[in-house]
Amino acid sequence: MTPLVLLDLVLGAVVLGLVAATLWSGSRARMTMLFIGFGGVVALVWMRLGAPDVALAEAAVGAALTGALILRAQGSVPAPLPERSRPWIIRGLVAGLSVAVFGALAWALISLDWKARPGLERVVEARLPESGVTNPVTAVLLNFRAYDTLLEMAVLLIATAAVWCLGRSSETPQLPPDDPLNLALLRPLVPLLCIVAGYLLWLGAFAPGGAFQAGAVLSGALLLLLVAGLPRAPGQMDTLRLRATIAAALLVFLGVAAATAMSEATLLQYPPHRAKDLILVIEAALTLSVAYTFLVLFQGGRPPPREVRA
Amino acid sequence: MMSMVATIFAAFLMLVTAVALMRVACGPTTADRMLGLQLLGTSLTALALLLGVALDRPRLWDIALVFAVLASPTAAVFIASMRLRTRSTESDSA
Amino acid sequence: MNWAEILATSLFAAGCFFFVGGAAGLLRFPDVLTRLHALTKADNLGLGLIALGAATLADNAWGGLKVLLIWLVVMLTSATCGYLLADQAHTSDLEKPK
Repeated sequence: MTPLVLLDLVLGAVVLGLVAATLWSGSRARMTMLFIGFGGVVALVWMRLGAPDVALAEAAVGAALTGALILRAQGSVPAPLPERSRPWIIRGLVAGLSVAVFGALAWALISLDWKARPGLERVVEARLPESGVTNPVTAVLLNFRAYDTLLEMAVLLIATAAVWCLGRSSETPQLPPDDPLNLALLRPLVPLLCIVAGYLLWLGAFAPGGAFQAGAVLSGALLLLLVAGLPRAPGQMDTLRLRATIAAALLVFLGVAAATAMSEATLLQYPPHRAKDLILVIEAALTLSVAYTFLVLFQGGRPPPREVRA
Repeated sequence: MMSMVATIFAAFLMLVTAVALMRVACGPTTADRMLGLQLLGTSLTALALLLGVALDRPRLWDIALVFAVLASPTAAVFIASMRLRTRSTESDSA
Repeated sequence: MNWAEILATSLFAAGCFFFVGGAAGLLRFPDVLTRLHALTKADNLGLGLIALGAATLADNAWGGLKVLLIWLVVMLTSATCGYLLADQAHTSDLEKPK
């Protein structure tokens, strides 16, 4: 048994045990906290499977930010889990369906011919020099399939609008005020989070990284500012600046799309000598928008407008 | 050779992680569960470092950096949310 | 194995030892505050030794510095958040449920 097989076995056992423990939970707190832990462990699985971009995104978004979201929601709604009221036949049907889908996927995966490598890797690699970056994931996300990313930005904006339609944001959780440790935590960490976000943004061109991961790290900084109760922290009031930042990515992307459509006569076809700059500009706007979108989703509703604040 | 050694240590550290998760699952109070998540975060950072050595991909150390740096916003949000819940239950029962 | 790898291996082993200690404390100590104490040992020494081991295997100085930065960040986080958590647990959450 090679060490790698041992690692895989232990990792798999931990993941499966964690899933079982999460689903068989008696209390909401246990289920949600285990789920947050699950996000972190899945990032590890992605690392082992050789997908560092996905692992980065999972670590930042799936573990840390989703965790923050869940913790905030849980903190304001203490309640036991509802009784299991569904009849057993429906539960049996759902279980049977899940097993069937899993079995089909497993069979498809096992019967796949890995030697033939039917994916698009070779096509992407052949065209990588034209894309302006050397990381194939970034090239696909922001150049070859930029249209998909543009639509994703629109989806994020719509999600923000939908959440804002649900009503006002509930009271923001705050750390104990006037505690000197709040500033002790913030002073090194907020600038560091911003620097790490910039580092990940720059890194995305040639190594695992990119705008989504950078935006997630930046929103960590914004969450710290909000929760420490700093008076001018973003996300507390519904201002034009907040809305503009959330919409920035989509607007920039649309601008680039319009410019390329007019000059090259093909939508989102970057001229190869400009591709790197265009990608950087779009990614920078994306980082800001993603960060502020996480912030407003964390708030869970529309913040009060500016006039209300005394 | 080094990557094999690092892989063994990583497998071992995963068991330690499982122990932390047990505290998340069992810990009677919510604070216990948060402690388990804190240990999980630190173990995942260490595991990311070890996997970077084991799989010979130093780029995985960036993931360790992200784990480390995003631990405090998550913890701060937890503490603030607990404080909010305590204050609201106190004012409810007052 | 050259000397760097031997050093790294021993550092990894020492780091794992402290992690085991931290985990054992987390599992066996009776109380939130005592468990927090055990936890900080794993954070500081466990991760620190593993980080040092990784730093000796880094390709260049930047990799080593990045790893040390990770260690410093985790120490800062565990120290301040440990205190804040203890303060909060002490003033509110010592009830059983959830």
